Amino acid sequence: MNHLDKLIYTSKAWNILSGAYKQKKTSSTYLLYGKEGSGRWLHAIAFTALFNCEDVKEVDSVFRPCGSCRNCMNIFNLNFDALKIVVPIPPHENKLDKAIDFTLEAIQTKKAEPFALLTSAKTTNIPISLAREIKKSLALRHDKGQIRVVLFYKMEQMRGASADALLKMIEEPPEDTVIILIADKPDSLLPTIQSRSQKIKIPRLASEDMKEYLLENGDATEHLASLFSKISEGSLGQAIAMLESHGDDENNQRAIFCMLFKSLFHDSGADTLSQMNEYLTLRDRSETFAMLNLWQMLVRDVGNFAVTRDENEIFNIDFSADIQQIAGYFHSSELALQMAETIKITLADLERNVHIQGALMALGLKLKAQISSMQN
Amino acid sequence: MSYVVFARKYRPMSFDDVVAQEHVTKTLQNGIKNDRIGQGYLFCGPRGTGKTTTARILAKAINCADGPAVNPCGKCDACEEITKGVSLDVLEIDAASNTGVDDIRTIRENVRYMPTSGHKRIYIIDEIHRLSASAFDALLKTLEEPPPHVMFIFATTEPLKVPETILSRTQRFDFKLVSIDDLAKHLKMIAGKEKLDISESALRLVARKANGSVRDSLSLLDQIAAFADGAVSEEKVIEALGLVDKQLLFDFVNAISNKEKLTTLQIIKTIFENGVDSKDFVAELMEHLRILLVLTTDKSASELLNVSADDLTEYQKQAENYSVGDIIRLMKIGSSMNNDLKFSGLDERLILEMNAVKMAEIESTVKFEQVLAYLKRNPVHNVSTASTSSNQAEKKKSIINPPKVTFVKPQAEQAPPPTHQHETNSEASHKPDEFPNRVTLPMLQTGWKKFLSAFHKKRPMLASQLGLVQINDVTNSVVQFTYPASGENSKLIVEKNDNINLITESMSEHFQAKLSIKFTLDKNNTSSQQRTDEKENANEKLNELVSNSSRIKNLIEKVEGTVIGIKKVT
Repeated sequence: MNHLDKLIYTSKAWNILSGAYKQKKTSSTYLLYGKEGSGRWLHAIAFTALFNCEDVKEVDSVFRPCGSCRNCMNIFNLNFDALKIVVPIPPHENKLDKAIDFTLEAIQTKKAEPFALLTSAKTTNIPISLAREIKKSLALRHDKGQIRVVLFYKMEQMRGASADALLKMIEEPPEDTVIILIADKPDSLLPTIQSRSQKIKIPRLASEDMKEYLLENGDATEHLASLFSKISEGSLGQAIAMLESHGDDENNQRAIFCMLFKSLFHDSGADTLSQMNEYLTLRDRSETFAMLNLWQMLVRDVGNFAVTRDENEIFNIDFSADIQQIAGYFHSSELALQMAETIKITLADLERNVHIQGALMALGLKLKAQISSMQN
Repeated sequence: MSYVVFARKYRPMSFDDVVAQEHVTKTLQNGIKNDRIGQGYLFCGPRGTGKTTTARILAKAINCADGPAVNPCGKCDACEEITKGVSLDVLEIDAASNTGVDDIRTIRENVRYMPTSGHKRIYIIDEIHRLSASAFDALLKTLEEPPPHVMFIFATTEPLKVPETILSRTQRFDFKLVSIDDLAKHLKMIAGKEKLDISESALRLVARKANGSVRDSLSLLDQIAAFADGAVSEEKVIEALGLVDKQLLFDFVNAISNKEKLTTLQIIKTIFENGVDSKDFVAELMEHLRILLVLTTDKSASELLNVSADDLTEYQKQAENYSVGDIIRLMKIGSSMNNDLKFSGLDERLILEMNAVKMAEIESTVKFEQVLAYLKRNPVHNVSTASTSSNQAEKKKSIINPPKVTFVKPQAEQAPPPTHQHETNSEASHKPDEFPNRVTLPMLQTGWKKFLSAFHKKRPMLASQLGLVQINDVTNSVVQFTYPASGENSKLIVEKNDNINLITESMSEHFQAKLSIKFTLDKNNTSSQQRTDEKENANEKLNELVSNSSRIKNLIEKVEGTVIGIKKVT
């Protein structure tokens, strides 16, 4: 529970939640939003524990659950009757047992690692049937003395019709019931849902805290923990996912992507294109996305370094030397802006399912032209 | 857990309590007064403007024991039952949960029954746009000719999704977003009732953040009441709601006008550290720019703005640095930033940083009239055709910023030493006796390596470009450098405004002498103009070849076509 002290109970979001508890002004619906893996889930679970804790503690005028009473243990183990969790599920052909299996699987993942990202190869959503089930279950009586919490995870994956069906419940939930919605951005929810909830932003985690967590809770080396905590944009879940999928292949892949980026500056246009062709012909769409996302971050790093000359501002520290070298080409910010815009447009094209090779060749040529025009 | 949120606790109980929707409440009250109550009403408008609340008040007004009354008593059994949501005569149905045609059939069957105690049996159907097409159709007959004791009130945020056939059978009322003034007034009233010690400016901040929705404003007030212990100031609201500090926006816009890219990046860093929502930052920035836009248009147009007198002075001061064109361009970048945040899926920090730098890079707008006036004062005699691309870049820049315009004059008229324009700048920056030494060619050649290594620490890439030159001559403190034919690009880079200034200054400092510098290309160089000439010659030859070819002439005759262009296929 040490990580709770550092990553949750010291956050501004927790300060607001604890303040509401302290003044007995808890709202009926909260919307916790922020990047996935930045602690939204843990804030919600800890808040549930705070309501139901048998021995609430006060440290530096901030309230927190004891973490050791029966209720706290059950809540943190996600095994508490009054805690209902709804997660997006893949299409289940109206088979309830399938839907339950998917939900249990997600809960197990979160139980093992509260910061873990919930990913699925299939398209997922929160169907209206699930919303109706929850509404029905809330109509039933529950143990007096307990505060019921309904947690909707990844609320942005709930369709409009399902969300509308929840409006009444969200505005006027049954007594002793709190609804917690978790989403990436408030804008991804209906305005009617947003206006019925108290919006609390869960900020990105500091890279130092993330690094410490990765070192304490896994077998990450100092270098990897430092690298992943910097490039995961404040999401510990993202850093953990990177660490888990990290291997020689992953490492090589980043190096190759960076090499291709460097070749835009050093090689002729034909060489760059033939290299891109060679490395990317047999690769899939997700790898192309990964490469372009890395290129975006490299452009950002290079552009920022050219302005600030501050090494600490570099996110991709594994390519720090390359970035500093390439920064010499960026005499003004114009090049970085043009390149970022071009990559952004290609990413959008790829989202629309255009032909990967064609889009990449066009991108390579455009970037090359931009770099050359700046040099001339 | 007996706490009831403000939005529910202070839900209006009579028409007079409804905030800023007089155009609806007055019409309804007049309808009741004149006994002209319709059979179907459609309330539409954005979230939190009072649709469902007004529907309930209307139901109470009609079924009130003293009614139909212009204002329900709120005390009789009927009123109390409706407030609690347990009335048998007022049925509130959630269309999102009862979307099907079967649900509507049930309603059709039930409308036959008379009300139990009230005057009418009233169906309030919320989120009506969620009904299926067949459900809407099933409702048509009943809605058009309901029994006299039945009335329908529909509420929706999306009237466009409601079929025309339904719209034409109902009286439509559009609820509007509430102004900041009205919201602030309402919040002040509630803060008073709750004994919240909150400043006027803090309330206005909450009202602004609510974007015209009463419920949003009350949710925010709730959040602040829970967060703040004691008096609530503007700063506390900013902290509790993660809003953008006004000073930060002033600093950001100042940094943009001073072209301080580094400062803009530092401000973005602060925003992320403070947990401010990126979208909120952009929205606040756009509002800030809007104020500047209004003030730039007319300095005295403060009645269009919602700002305090203190802030107004600061805004007016800042507006002096901009023209309308500049602000519109900044707003365009802001708007694209907003779109990127919503749709691009890129990292938020990346989007903000890139656009912040873009904003800091924009050049001031110069009106076309200004350019014309400048040209009138400084006529252009001739534009050299042999100008290099760097000269062209200079010209482009000079159009943007007239005072620095340097047009190329005919050789005969040109002022003596053809040194770079920036010499004058560097000369101006040094006092005549600042560097008393005179530098000779051998001195320069001996100290060149040392200078380069010192300069390399300052600007490594620029130093490497400078390393390619040969020192040709030093006359009258003008150092003549020559690049080899392959160094054309390097020459262009070092000749950029900032770079040549920096090199001149660094050299003057290093050699303790007032110096100017000039770069030339090796004579063997194939210039871009020569290349263009060669290309043009080749094209002419090609044209001649094509027009003399009898096969092509035949082809043109056969297809009855004309030649619109000739292009060499490689």
